[in-house]
Amino acid sequence: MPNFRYGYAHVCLLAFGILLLVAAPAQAQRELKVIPDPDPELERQTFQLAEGLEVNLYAADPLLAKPIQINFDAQGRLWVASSEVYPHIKPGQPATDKILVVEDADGDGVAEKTTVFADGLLIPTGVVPGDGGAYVANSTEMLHLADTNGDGKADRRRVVLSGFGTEDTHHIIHTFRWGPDGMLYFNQSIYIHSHIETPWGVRRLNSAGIWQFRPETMQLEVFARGLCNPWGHIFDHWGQSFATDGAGGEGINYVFPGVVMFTYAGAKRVSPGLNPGSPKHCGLEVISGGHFPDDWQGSLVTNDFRAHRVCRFSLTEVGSGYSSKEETEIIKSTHAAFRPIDAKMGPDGALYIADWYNPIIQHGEVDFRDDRRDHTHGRIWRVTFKGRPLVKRPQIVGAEIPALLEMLRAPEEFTRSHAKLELKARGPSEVQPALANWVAGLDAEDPQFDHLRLEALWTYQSLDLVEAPLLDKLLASPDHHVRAAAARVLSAWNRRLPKSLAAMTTMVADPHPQVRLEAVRALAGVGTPEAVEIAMRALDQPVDRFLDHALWVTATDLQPIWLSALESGQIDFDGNVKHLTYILQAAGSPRVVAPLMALLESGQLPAERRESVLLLVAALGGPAELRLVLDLALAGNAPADQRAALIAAVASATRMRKVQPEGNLDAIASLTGDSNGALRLAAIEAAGLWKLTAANKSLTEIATAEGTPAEVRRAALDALAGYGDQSRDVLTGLSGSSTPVSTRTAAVAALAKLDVKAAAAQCVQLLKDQPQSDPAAAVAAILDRNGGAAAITEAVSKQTLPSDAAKLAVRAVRSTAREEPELVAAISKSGGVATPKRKLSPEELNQLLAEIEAGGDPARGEAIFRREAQNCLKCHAIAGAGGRVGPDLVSIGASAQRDYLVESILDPSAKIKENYHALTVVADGIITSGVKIRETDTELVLRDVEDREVVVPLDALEARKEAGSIMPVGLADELTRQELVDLVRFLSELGKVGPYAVGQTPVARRWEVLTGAANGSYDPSADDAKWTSVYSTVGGNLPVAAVAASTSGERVVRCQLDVAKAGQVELRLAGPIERIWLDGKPLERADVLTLDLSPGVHTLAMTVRDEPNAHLRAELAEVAGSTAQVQFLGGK
Amino acid sequence: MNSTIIRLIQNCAVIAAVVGVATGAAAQSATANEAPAFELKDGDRVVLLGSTFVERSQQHGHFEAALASRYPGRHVQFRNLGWSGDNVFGESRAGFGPVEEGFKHLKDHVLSLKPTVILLGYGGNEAFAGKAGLENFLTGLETLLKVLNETGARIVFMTPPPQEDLGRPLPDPKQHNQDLKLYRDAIIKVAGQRGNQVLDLYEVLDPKRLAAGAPVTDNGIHLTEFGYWLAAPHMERGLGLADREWQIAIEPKQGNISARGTQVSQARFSPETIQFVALDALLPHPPAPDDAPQERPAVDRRTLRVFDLAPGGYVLKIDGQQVASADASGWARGVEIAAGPEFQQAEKLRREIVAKNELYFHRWRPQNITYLTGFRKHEQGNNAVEIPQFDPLVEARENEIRTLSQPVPHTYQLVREASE
Repeated sequence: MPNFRYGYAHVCLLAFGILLLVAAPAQAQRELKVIPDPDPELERQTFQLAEGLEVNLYAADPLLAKPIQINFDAQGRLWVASSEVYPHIKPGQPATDKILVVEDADGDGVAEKTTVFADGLLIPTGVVPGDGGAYVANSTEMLHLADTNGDGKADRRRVVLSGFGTEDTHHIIHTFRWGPDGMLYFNQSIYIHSHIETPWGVRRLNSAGIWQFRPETMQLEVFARGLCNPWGHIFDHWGQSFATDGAGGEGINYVFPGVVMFTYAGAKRVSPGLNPGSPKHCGLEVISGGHFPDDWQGSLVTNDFRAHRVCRFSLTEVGSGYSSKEETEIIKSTHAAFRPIDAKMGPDGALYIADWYNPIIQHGEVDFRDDRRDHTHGRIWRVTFKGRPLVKRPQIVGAEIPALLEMLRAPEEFTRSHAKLELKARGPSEVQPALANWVAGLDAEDPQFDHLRLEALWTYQSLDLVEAPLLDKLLASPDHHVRAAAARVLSAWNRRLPKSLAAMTTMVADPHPQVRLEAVRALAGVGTPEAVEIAMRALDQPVDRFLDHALWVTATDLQPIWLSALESGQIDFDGNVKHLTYILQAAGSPRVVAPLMALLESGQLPAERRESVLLLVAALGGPAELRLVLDLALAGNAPADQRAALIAAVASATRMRKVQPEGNLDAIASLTGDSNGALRLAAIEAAGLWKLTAANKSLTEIATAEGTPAEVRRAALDALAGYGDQSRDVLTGLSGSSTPVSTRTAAVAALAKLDVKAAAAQCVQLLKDQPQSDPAAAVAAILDRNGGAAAITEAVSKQTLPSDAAKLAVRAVRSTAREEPELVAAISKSGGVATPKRKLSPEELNQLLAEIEAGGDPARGEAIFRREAQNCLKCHAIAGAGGRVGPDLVSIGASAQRDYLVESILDPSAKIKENYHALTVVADGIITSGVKIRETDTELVLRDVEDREVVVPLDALEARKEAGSIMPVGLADELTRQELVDLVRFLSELGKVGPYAVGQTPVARRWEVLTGAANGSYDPSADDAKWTSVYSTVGGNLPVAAVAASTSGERVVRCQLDVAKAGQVELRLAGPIERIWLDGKPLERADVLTLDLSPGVHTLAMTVRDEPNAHLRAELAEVAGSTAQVQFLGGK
Repeated sequence: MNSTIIRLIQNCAVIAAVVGVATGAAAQSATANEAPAFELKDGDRVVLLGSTFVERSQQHGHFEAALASRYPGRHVQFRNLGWSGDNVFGESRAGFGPVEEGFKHLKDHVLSLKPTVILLGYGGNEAFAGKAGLENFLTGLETLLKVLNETGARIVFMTPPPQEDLGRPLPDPKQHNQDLKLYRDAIIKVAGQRGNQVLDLYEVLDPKRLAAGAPVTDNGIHLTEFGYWLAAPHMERGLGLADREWQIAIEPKQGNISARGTQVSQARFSPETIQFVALDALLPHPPAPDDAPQERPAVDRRTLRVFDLAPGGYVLKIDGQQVASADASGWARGVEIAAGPEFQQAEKLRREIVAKNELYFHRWRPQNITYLTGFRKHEQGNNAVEIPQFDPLVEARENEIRTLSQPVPHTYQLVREASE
């Protein structure tokens, strides 16, 4: 017992304890009302289904809990990876996760039995039956578990592979599946670093990707790289791969061997997804078989788990790749815990959906120990078509080999893939003779003939039997799908076939681009200089973005091989300039400068390639090469814009690599007064970088002259700063009180490069003298220097600022997205301004949440979101339209709880989405903050708060640190309480079923408004106008009020169409539109227009009447019989 | 039960011969190095550093159990820092950073543990680079040794084990084994120059030498549980440690009991029963795991011989548990004891070690590290408080391990079976 002396402390502690007791449940109870009733029937009743579908409950808790991946075995039993420990084991908690086998023995579509096949696992994120048991993901390991005594429970456990990373448990290995080639494919996600020992060597994958594994040989390779969190992967009818991304926004992604996709660590280039602007998707399945109608065959099924939707996409072949279109949802629901995450076709031809069932889906952003996380429920739903017969379950296990071969004819992918796996299990000696007979007996007139032969080829591949004659026949198939698939098999057998290189040489000249793409990747697998030389022949025919990517990957991956061979004269790319320039440009190594110079000097370079080669030489060359480029720019034959680009590239070499052209550079001085703006700016920058004495005087004149355009003055001031101390007097003078405020601000910014303390003093003086003027440019420039924040803090603490100046200065600091609490405090104190409160107590938060629920108006919230002053769209896109600095918010409301939204607005760094963590780096004394886009061996590329890509050379890097969110603090400071309530309400509706969910109708979301044209009024045929981006509302309308009049008083707005495949498309327009132009040519004004479009980007411009309350809308619709693939361009 | 025992005795002679060779080789290389004899002292902290061979051994615990039971009652901590795919550069430990960061993690972790003994097992992954990569490996090894020297720990080098030939389509290991030998020879040379001991796994785990009767790996390079079980006593010998002898011979008529490796007391003889209490010097190795083949070498040779029994069958019970039976002539030839409370204790010890290793794994390589201490720690860093909560759990297991490493007295009863 404590004696009296300790009584006070004791009472205090007790009081604190009570506070905690009160506070903790309040925290846990918050929004508990969104925890729904777990009755599956109530959940089912919320489902809105696509026409003709129905859904029944196949299995639910307690038959299973927390399903992560589902896969059927040949008997039609459903294997479920289930984790209750997820997301994070507690100290002392036993790992008790399970593999369950769910069975519907009587085939009535409802499971009646569950067997615990394996227990004692730690967050098993994948399971696929095979090889007499099941392959199971178990955190760092891939296990093979088998039941040897037939009691349904695993009694043999083998670690097949180990060394997989676990840096994030929603990224650990997952998405186990068999390929048509008998190999096991599985995925890992972005934060995972895996180091796997195999008897063939160590394999490493230090980011996301798809692994390819042959268990019987232990050969493990990386099949594809990238995507943030690829939890879906399918092979289509022809063996082509597609994947979805649970943390990316591009919908369906086309995957081919060696492809590098979004967010692969260190990638210099990525192959884009097919549905930019999509929400995140989890799981993927392809519809096949007799139960679904014809127009559903080949559709892809995936899940928008955040917005409670099971989605359907349809694919169209375009060139070497595909385009993808979202169809009406299979299921959409308002049920807060419906979390569809996997989809599989079942033995009866129905579609099965795994429902993780959880009101909380987030991992990183929601506390591991948040009470709202559900650890016990889970459902499997079964989707069928009303009135259509089910598929008879195939009898695969125990079937005779000829019967198994006949199953390769089945329209159901389920049957074909399980039959192939069963044949693989029977082994080559039993299967080979029957397989040869079966192929020999196929009817050449059968429309399926070559697909059947392809299935046979895959069966050979599964059995690891090289079958050259059949391969040769399929490489010559009239069907390009078959040739493409055969080319991939050719690649796999490359080392075991004597004539593989000759075959690939033929395929790389194939009439179909998809075959050429496969050939390019196969040649990369050969890995010799000659093979790379042959691969470049794909450039002799049209190259689209996928084929280009395949070529680029081949060129960069094999650079160590071909570059040495080229230098030594072993290969010369047949002297083909096109091939040479392509591969040299891909390489990005200084070693390509010599061959590039040889190309330039040969005089064979076509004019249209000249500029890009020169730019590359400037980017990689030394003083002599830079001189050559500079001389060409100075010579004045080329158009001014081209000359400007070359000078800028040479200047950039000085800035980035500290090399400058050799010889006398004074000639650049004469260009600082050029009439072409771009050329003038480039020359001014170069003059400053090279400290040209000859230009010093003219720069000073430009900086001080009254009529100098602001942009040019800024450049001249910056250039002067480059001269160092000799410019001090000029800059100090210009930053003083006798100068106009805009010049003064720019001069302070320039002075910061010279003397950060002097600049800070001048800046504070500026704040005092001009309290109404925006000091952002000056403040940002000082904060960009090492020690800048401290310098202003010191300068301001000796002064008293007008309160308005202090407010503007604080806003300027915040807009740099750096946390400078001392500086903000000093400015606030100096101006007598209170710092707004940004952390709410639980009670305050609950009060706010109650107001949002009762009185938040999403329509008013959207208007606030769209306000220019609020800057939201500058950084955040909705459905792909808007800035890229922050995450796309298309379904944020469906995934994030409101307390999270409130916190993210008030305190942006509290919780941050993956890939949106800012870095602050110091290089050459300059500080840059931004989100990392990529990092290579030589440079770091950040996207800064202004959506600019900033390249930081790693050589110059002095410091780097994690910097939380790049979203400025205090964006909500100017909002009234009701405005904040409305804004959060709007965000919380985004993606939920209702008016704030983005639908499937293709509608223009990103527009550009004319601000001014060079010749006064708008000339649709000229390209001299200035535009600024505006965006449609979530509903897809552009308020006319957002279309400001240009300097000439016109209201002109345009949007762009990206045509992947030519053809007719219908354009539906609404709103007060007057005149319309397509690519500068007038169109008749009508509400519905049929356009016949060629591939590429087309611009649709229109003038509109000033009707403040009206809206513009542009929609695309299909034209019957047309195969055109058109979408509106999104982006910033 | 009977047939098993007979089989074990038959295998005995073969094993003894093989073991003789192994011990001889180890003894030889030990003298060549002039390294001090291997011993773990009270208070030692042993760090096992290497790649998958080391990493996976923590899940089976056989080698660690052998070392723990070798020094009963001593407080010795084992920290398994194996990481799949790792090399002397710490490449697998790099996380989000470059390889150098991996080396830094390795260094920081090893130094923070203040080890007194380090078992260092690299070279296997590096050997895939062949002869051309040897110099790079040795440079990396030198840098690593500089760091490890800072600990002042006794360093024992483990050479990479050979690749087992499991037939096609798995790779033919001929070339890789030549490369492995190259690296192994280089490691032995470095150890010799430094006067460090070598545990020559390349030699000790040579499939021919192991004569396991079945593959000891399932992919050529990684031991199965059976492989680890069988390897443990061979690795002990490779460290120069003597075999665990255990033999009791009884001459009832004379009332004589001679024992090696165990202390016998309270002997009582009657025509129907012989009873005594035995306190072993060392625990045996744990019993063979489930994946062991039926025909397999024995790892312990515990023989009880009883001469001159009256004809008939006799059952041996230890603490009342029946563990063997034979007729009088069988007992006179000697019966192999392969089960009973000592084996159960050894197995319990091994399981405790495995459980401890799992807890320690969560301690040093927790999942979700990105959120707990990495660049997203502002989100879940509050949950990093759970990481040190594993420490007391590890410590409790270690106390239990120390207790379990000590043999306890057991009552043996040889009882004549009633004739039918």
